[in-house]
Amino acid sequence: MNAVSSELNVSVPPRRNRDRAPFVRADGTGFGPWPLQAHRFLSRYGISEHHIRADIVAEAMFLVRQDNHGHWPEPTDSRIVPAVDRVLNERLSGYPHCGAPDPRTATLRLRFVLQPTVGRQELLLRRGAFRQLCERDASGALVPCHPPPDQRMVMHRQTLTYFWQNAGRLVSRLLNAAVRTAQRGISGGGDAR
Amino acid sequence: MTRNSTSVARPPAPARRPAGPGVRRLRSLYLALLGITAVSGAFGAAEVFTTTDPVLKPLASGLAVLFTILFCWIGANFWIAAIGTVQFVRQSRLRTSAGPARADRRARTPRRQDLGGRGTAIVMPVHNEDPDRWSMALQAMLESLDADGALDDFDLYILSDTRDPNLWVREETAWLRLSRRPAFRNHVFYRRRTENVERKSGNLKDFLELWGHRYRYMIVLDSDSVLEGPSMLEMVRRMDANPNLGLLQVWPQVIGGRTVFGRLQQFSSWLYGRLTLTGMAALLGPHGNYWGHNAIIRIEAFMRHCGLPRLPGKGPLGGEIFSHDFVEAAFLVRGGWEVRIATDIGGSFEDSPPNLPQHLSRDRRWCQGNLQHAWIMVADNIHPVSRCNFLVGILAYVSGPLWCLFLLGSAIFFSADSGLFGSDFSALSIPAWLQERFPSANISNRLLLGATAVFLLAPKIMGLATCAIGQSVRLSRVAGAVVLETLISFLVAPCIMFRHSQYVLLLVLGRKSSWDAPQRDDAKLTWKEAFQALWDLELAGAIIVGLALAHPGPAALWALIVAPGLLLSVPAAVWTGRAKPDGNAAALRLFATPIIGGEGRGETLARTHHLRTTQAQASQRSPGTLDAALRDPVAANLHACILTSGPNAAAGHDAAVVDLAHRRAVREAPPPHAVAGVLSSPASFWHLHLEAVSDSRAGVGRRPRDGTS
Repeated sequence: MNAVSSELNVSVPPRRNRDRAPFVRADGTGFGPWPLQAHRFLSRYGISEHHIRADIVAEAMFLVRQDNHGHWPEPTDSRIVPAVDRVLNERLSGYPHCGAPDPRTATLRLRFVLQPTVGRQELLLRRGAFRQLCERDASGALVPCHPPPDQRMVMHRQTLTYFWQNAGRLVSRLLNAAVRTAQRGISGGGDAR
Repeated sequence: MTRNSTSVARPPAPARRPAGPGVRRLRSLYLALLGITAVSGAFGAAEVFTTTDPVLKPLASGLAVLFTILFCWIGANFWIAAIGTVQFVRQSRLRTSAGPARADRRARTPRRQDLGGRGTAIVMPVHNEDPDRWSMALQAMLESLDADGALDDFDLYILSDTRDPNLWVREETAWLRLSRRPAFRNHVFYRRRTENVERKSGNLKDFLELWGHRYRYMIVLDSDSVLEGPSMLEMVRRMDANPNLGLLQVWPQVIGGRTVFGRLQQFSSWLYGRLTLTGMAALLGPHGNYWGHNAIIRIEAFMRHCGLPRLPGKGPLGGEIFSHDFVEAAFLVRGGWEVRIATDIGGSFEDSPPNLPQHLSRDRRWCQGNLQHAWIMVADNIHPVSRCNFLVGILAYVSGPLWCLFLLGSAIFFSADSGLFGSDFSALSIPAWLQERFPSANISNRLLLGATAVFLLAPKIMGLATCAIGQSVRLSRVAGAVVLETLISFLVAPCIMFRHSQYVLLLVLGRKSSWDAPQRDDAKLTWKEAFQALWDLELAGAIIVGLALAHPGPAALWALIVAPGLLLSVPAAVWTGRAKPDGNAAALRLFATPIIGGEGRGETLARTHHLRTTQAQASQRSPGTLDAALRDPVAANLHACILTSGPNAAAGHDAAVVDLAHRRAVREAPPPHAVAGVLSSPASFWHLHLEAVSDSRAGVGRRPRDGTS
């Protein structure tokens, strides 16, 4: 809610003719330049039942109106889609502090539902019902493709050493020792004098 | 999705253990026999390659050295097979007296809770392989585990490195089909990498770094592997019984050959390969080897010791390690862990290449990998037995050019030494020349020739002899098959020799080989394909025959050895590459082998075959492609959820990608990389999916999409 309202409070775009027209009706249908954007957005997540979509769009419209503070007479397409996304997140327990990793996860979880039936969609979209669905639905509807990769344990590369490297090191050590000895000999001779 | 990087918890490695007294005695015996072979070969070669011509003396010395090396090479293989025969007979007696113990072993197999909640992961790395083949094998394996009530102790990971978009979509569908089965629920996982870093070893490394800590053991499969459930349980039981055991390799029986070539490999692997392997297992003891699949690995040991290094140098023989399995075995042994080869666990199977060109193509990859091992072989702190493993792997490919050099050099030597160059060849009598060069009075020469023949042919006779022990096969049929197999091997051997020489030469010159997926099915090899793959061998055969006709003499004898195989390479490849419906049924029956199914009695293999047959019929009705993924909501949902939930998920909505995808994948024929780009981007994929669905609802006909349907 904060994200939407702060976004709306930042600046007020100039009114245009198309904003004046009622865009989304209370039953979820609408007309305008992109009349079915919210419905298309929902169908892309597999939500096919009309009454469920209408319910979600109606709630989204309520949210937009609530955040609108009377700046516009009707909600616009650009605001209805994030609002629908937010409703979906809330219904899928993806809102902040609900235990889910992030809101995006909730929408992804919904995509795990394959061949969504009416009952399953209703169950899934009931507010906070996601965990119940995980426990109750034994039909294979939710399929994790792999366990969460929470912690990466690094496999270190092994090292290879070769005898010629050791020989090289030995030669360099001998040379260094010889140089040091020579230097000591020179300086030692000086001290002796 | 945060991923913290931490180092592998390092358990205390066991102290390096020497081999037991029995293995040490066997190694001493083997080394003594090899030494005798080397000395006798060197003496014999010195007698044969003698000359009074000072110009030819360096050539004679070089040939003597070459012959000694090659004589030792075939002698080493012979002695391993001989030791293997003795061991095999012993094991067969023990097996007969032990009787069935399946139920007992199952009861003694540790469960997941016994392993601290960390069970066993079955991992199958796949790269552009037919999903219908491997998914059916996996289903049969899981069903076998389920029948034993052990499925809860295992998880299966399909680790995909596939780049082909159509195969990618089919893989997801295959995974879904497996994972939705109620019995397999939450036991089957799928992960696809976006980048093929370090190929198969990198694929496994990625799995281990992400999920390895959840498991104690992992069973590594190849995409053509089949393992019986009881065999997997036995592998886990043995790992648990021996805490020092880091890796247990099981012999994969080559099976399922539907062409004569495939059946030949199956036959020779069953009859001779098993003996060689038994001998190797006895000699290697706790310092064994690993072949990259059909093995169980202790994950902690593997993660601690088997992070592959980059090799010094550039080009194909340096940098990234191509063939990782031998190296990982050597590193485990270096870390103090035991690596063993189990020859008494049956129920382990793999496929073989269906024809000669495919076999040679696989050899090229293996050749590069094995030659790279020279860097590890000479590195510090590698166990001597591991060095021997590397040497054997290298010699398997370097022996080809060595034979080639030897044949060429000896042809030149004998012709020059006999003064035949520039002489009247019509007056030459080959028998007289042979009598002169190899006089009957010289017993050592005869012994050398005889020993060479024995080294080459005796393993076949030993294999035939072991058939009589506890196997329900008709000896007369097997004997006939051995004769035919020997004849075909005689034809194929020069082709392999020439190709190996070519591969080694190309690698030395810096030419890399590709990492293409091998052909697993039995599609018919056409004359055109065979000629495209083997035309240079035909040409080489024609040149050799031409030279032999132009300069008859000893060189003609050598030409007789290699020329028929080269000249007949294309017809032989076509004939041996034909699958059953096209004929060769008699030959296929002749080379049939019994299945060594172990305690599972081959039920999993039979089930795999049944499922594959059924699936092949179903696939013809509904091929899974990108097109299907775009139009089918189920496949689209599946792809999107897999795409966005993976550890390497691409994020963001790239308008350019969408535009490209929209333009190319819908209205124009897109190149494969564009299709892969569409599939890799969640946003572009959804965009295309919506477009496709809208088109189909609006009644728009299907637009042509090359390469996507």
